Amino acid sequence: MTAAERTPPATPPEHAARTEADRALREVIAAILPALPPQEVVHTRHLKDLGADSVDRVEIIAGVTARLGLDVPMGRFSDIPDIGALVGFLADCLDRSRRTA
Amino acid sequence: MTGAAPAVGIEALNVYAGLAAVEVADLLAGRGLDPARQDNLMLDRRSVGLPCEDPVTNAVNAAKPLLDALAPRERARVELLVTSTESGVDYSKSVASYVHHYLGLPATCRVMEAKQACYAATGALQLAAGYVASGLSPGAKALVIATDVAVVDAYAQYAEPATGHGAVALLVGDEPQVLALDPGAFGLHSYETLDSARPAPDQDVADADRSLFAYLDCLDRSFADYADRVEGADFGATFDRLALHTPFAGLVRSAHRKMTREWTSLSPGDAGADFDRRVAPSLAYPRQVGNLCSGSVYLALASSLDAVPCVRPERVGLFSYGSGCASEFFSGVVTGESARAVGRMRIAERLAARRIIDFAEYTRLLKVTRSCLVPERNREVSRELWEDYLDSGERAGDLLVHTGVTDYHRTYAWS
Repeated sequence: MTAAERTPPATPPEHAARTEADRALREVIAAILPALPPQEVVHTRHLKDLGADSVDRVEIIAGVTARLGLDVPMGRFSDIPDIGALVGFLADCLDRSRRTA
Repeated sequence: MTGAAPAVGIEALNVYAGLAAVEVADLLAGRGLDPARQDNLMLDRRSVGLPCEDPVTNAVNAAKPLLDALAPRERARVELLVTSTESGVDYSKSVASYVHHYLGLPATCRVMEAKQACYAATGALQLAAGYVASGLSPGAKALVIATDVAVVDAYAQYAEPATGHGAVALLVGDEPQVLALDPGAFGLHSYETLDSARPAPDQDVADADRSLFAYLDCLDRSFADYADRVEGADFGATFDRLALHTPFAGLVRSAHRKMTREWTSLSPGDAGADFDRRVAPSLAYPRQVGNLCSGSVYLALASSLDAVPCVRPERVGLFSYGSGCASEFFSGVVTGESARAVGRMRIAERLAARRIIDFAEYTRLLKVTRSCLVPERNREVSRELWEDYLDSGERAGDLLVHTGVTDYHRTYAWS
């Protein structure tokens, strides 16, 4: 085993994708819902719970996928139960898009 | 783009959007809903049905002025009548069968009803245009009427203020003064989903995210199919105007923003100016009427032509979406004559003449109208109770009113 193989990367790729997705989502939510205190964006809540109406939710999903450079149908987001799952799904999409790039 | 194919499309267009309307702010307040939501709904008021109105009367009252303007020999050439509705009055007998009778259309006419939520009128228009263009019956005309009523109550929450009432009639033929369809210029996208539906005559169900996301995916994919079929098609440059299915204007604003981001190189600022120029004129009437279901995209077209009459031939991109779901992006050409033909229908005057009712009157009407599609063997609708509505407003002529049901046969009278 070489030294490089023994040393794990500082951040696993899947964790980096989650961090990137989480940050992008928080930035987009802040832009669409400027009056919302950032600490209210917690993973166990749905966007609806933050006061995002249906148009806000469209703008948030369309905005975050554009910011992350993802080409994912909006319909794939219809059943996502909460913000944590949304971050996870976005991270999976990021990983997939980078593997195929 | 049009090549050598014969010109076919919409010869005449009229809107009937009822005799009453409620301010959306009053409806939100009455239901205890958040008034701030009106900003994203982009709705000012919505049409409200009367107990003496139903899908049949709406259809007839929209189409009659178009037929009255025809010479007898032209009327006799109406060889196809399609009513497009998600407000059917019977599982077997069509709305069209009543409409055919009360419009006095020839017996030598195909009569049928189409259902595909808010898409069906566009499907019917394309099939009618195909029949006209086929040359199988040169000079034939078709009448496509999108007609619906609202059956939602407080349970629908923010969908209630967005739901409209009325009909749009399209006369289809080979002298398309209102919209000459670009032959072969269409794109389709359809798949099965349950985003909204009417599982019972007085019950709508909807999943807001699923429906709005499906609308946006379908707009993107149907335009992609259009671009595959039409060489050089460019979302930002090909169309001088856009008229999109408008469940509520706020969704159309988001849809335009998403499409310009994905299909053009416009900056956000330029995208806003593009929206104001190409889209906003189409939203003036929908903001006053609410969602007219499959007639909505044609209400948007009429709005665009009335708000900013064209002075030279212009290409319009149109998008129709119906839950369930089916969608189509297509295009056509409008001219100064298009604006004059639609203007003669005085749609703006008739919308302005609707009686604005308060929330208490709205709920009083809704108690009766919500059940207007529920099958009953016998029912009487007392016209006298609603005379004052019928006598007010800017009428285009005689109006058909619903008077009841006798042994399952719906009855009507002219007022």
